[in-house]
Amino acid sequence: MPYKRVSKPIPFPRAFGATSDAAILSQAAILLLMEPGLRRNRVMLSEYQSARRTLRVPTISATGRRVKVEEVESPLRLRPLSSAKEVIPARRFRRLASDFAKKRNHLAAASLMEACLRHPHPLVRAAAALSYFGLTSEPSRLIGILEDCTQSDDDLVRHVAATGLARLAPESPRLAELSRKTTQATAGPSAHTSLLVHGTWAANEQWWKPGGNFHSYLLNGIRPDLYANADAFSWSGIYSEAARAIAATELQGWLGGHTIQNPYLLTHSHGGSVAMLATQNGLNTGPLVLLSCPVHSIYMPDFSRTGRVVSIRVKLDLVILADGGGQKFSDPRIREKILPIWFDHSATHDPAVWQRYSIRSVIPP
Amino acid sequence: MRLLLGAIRLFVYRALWYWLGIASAGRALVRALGSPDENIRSIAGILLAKSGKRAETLLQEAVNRRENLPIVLTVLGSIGDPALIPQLRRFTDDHNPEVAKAAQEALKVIELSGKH
Repeated sequence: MPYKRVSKPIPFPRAFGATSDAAILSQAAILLLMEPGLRRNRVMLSEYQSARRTLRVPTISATGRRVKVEEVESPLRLRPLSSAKEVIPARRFRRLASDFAKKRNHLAAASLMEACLRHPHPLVRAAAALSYFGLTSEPSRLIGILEDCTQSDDDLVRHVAATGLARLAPESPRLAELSRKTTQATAGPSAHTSLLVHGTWAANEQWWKPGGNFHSYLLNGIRPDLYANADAFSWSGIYSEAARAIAATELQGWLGGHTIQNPYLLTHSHGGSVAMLATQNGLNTGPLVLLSCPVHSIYMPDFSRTGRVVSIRVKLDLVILADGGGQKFSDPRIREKILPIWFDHSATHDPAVWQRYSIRSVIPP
Repeated sequence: MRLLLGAIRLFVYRALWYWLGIASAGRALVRALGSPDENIRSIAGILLAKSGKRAETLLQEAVNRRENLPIVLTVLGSIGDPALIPQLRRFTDDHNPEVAKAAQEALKVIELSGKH
């Protein structure tokens, strides 16, 4: 990840007065968090209430009013987006943000967003384009900015821009190009080296699938090499030893078919049992991360075939209790991380838990 | 705490149904397969799968009602009774792809484990 980790985001309007990584990420977050307010999206507003409070995201009443481009371009002496590229110096954003903090109206919001379309950092440009869509009188101008940002070398910029395009202009040819590029990438050997293996009952869950919340969280920073195509590995999720044995064979076959060697495996629940069985059958893996994995003596990794093994779990996992498995691996070769959370089997695939307890620092690099 | 209480309730349902034969408690366990909480779904599935063939009647009722079909079929696959094969085969071409996939996977596991 090209950004320094942010332990303390910078709130509005102060974020717009700095150029550090924390400031850039905070600016983008503030702009993106303004968007649900403009769209009157109550679900999103309530979901991100805490983040909005932390970042002191300004709210303006959602009247559905669109601000004419000339109303903001002329007073700010901005060149139209269609003309030669214009980059605005950082100090102007500070002033515009302060103005908006004082006068919380549509015009002030539009002025800040319009200026941010010319921000030196593409992440802020992409975030502004996404948020401004519902406020400007000429939203079609913003598609070009998002398309341009999908060319960025920065993963985060590309993902924000592509997500925005998929929502606002799904017909954009740039999206088709991006998906073609991803498909082609699978053809080469070891194009992806990390894999997420779900557990019992989870074959139809969304969190582990490409686009799912945990998958996206891992992909966007923790494991950028995570396999992300639609044919991601999945197994039956059936609760039986036979099903896990079949899944272990299928995992080996799937990896062979995708010419992926020594994958970095992140597994949840009995997905860990499947991976460990596969190593017993001869699969060589890189590091193995076991999330909420029940302990059964028949499922232990062949340590000669795996990289570092780390088990991350909560206290007294109720699903493991029902399963009858042990909660703690006794083999010293498996490093244990016990989270200060009780009972919740699914907590270990919750991005918020990963962030809160810095699980990223616990797993092997 | 809500999770703990929900889990305890499932263990009680299972005991009432399995040991005392109270069918309504068993049905409550099957209904829990559709819980929005992944923990509750998982615990209910494990308790039913561990009950083996005794759970088949309850699950059959859910199948007839098409209630939580993908996970109900997965539980049937977990029980692994070869007598369920014709029943599962009926769903392998279901219009709902998740149902069809769950039936195919259950069928595969039962058939392959029978060969070993």
